Amino acid sequence: MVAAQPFSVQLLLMKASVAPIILAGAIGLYRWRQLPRTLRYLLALVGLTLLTELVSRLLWLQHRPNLFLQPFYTAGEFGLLVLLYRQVLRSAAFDRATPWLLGGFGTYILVSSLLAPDLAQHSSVLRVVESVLVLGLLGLYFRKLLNELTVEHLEREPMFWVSLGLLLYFLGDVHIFLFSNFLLNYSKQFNMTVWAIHAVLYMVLYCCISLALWLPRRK
Amino acid sequence: MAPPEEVTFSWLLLSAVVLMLLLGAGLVMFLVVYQKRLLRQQKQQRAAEMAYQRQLLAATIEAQEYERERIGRDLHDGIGSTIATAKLLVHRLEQMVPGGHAELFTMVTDILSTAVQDTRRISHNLYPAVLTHFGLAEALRHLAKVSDEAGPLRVQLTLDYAGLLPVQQELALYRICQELVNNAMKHARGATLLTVSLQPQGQVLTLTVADDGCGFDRATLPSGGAGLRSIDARVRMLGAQLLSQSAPQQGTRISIEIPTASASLSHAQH
Repeated sequence: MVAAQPFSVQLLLMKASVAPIILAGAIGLYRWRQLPRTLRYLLALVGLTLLTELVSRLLWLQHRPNLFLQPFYTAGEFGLLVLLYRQVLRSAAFDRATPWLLGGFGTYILVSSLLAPDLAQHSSVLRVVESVLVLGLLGLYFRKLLNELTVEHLEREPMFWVSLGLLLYFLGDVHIFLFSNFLLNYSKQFNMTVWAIHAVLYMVLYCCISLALWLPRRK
Repeated sequence: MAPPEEVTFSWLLLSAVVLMLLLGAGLVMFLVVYQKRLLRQQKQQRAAEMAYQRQLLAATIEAQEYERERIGRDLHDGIGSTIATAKLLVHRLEQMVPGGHAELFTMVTDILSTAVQDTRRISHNLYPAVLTHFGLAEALRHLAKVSDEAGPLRVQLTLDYAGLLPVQQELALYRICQELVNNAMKHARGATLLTVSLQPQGQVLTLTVADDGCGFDRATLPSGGAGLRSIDARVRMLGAQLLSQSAPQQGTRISIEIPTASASLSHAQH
């Protein structure tokens, strides 16, 4: 994705962004037997992210294009998040909407991938659409928290931390994804700064996921 | 000189990202604070509902006990006295009528005596005057003595009670004991001994009724007749805890634990 650069804080942050993902994966595997079904979907997401990171970095080291991975990763990430929130929301209406959401988004990715002239621009649009949909999922979850009042201590609820991490990540990144292609042609230095901010948000997300996987199961 | 477009745009984008993050953080903080407030309100509402339910229960039981006392007193003072008077008049009639009919008079006297005893027993069951005059300990001694004499089981009573509870709570506890003893007399097949004890254990006063009878399997027991429901209502009114141990062929042991700290608080309120 990015050509070799001399050392900089931005580059260090981007390289270090994989650390919380590895931490989340390690915690998830360590606590696999104690994890409820909901959080196993989360672990699957961590696994998908790690796999994508690994393949993406291998290709980058070999100076090969890796942007083609983005649509697959986006589809997988969105699918796992929808399945995760279906378990959490436990709503008949959402259960009925799930196949349409997954099928609709999947079809959109497939069609737009085949028809898109520019892969970079297409990837950014995909991420913006995904951000909006995931923010919708989070809205449903927070609404359920306020309506049902079944969680007494939010700080001990794993899904609260997952949702917080996702909210900060997608809210922060929606503008980054919107202007990512514009930035490439505008200023390399500023482009690096913006992607460093993305890396920080990415690390915050996976720190929240690590915390969620570590929290003991609520009785 | 106008600032370069690149610098203006970069500040705009960074501001937009920071603004969105602040919005997200603000939203979550609002959610947390609002959720805690809603939870607090829900807890307060539930506590108020429970307090109301307890007050309603106490008022219902008080009304029931008032009616029982009224009916018991009317039975004893009214019908009981009338039957006793009739018995005296029959005895006088026997003396006035010369010879004969001795058997008939004896039969009538016996029937009237039985009626007087039954009236007294029913009147006492309805309202234990011993409790109001002499307290819970004496009432339990009387209950144990009457049950021992009249029932099929030997009754053994152990008492270590210093009069900690107010009258309404003593009456509720007496009713529970009465119901448990009646249940054991009726249903504890094969039992030979019924033990009743009222003893303090730390901050708790424990009433225990145990028998060595056939026991029962809680899983197969129907949801409960009027007697069990009345025990349950009184246990809730006392703020006590009911512990039940029973298994087929292993007897039954039922304990009621009443916190004496709450008793002294309710005593202060009265």
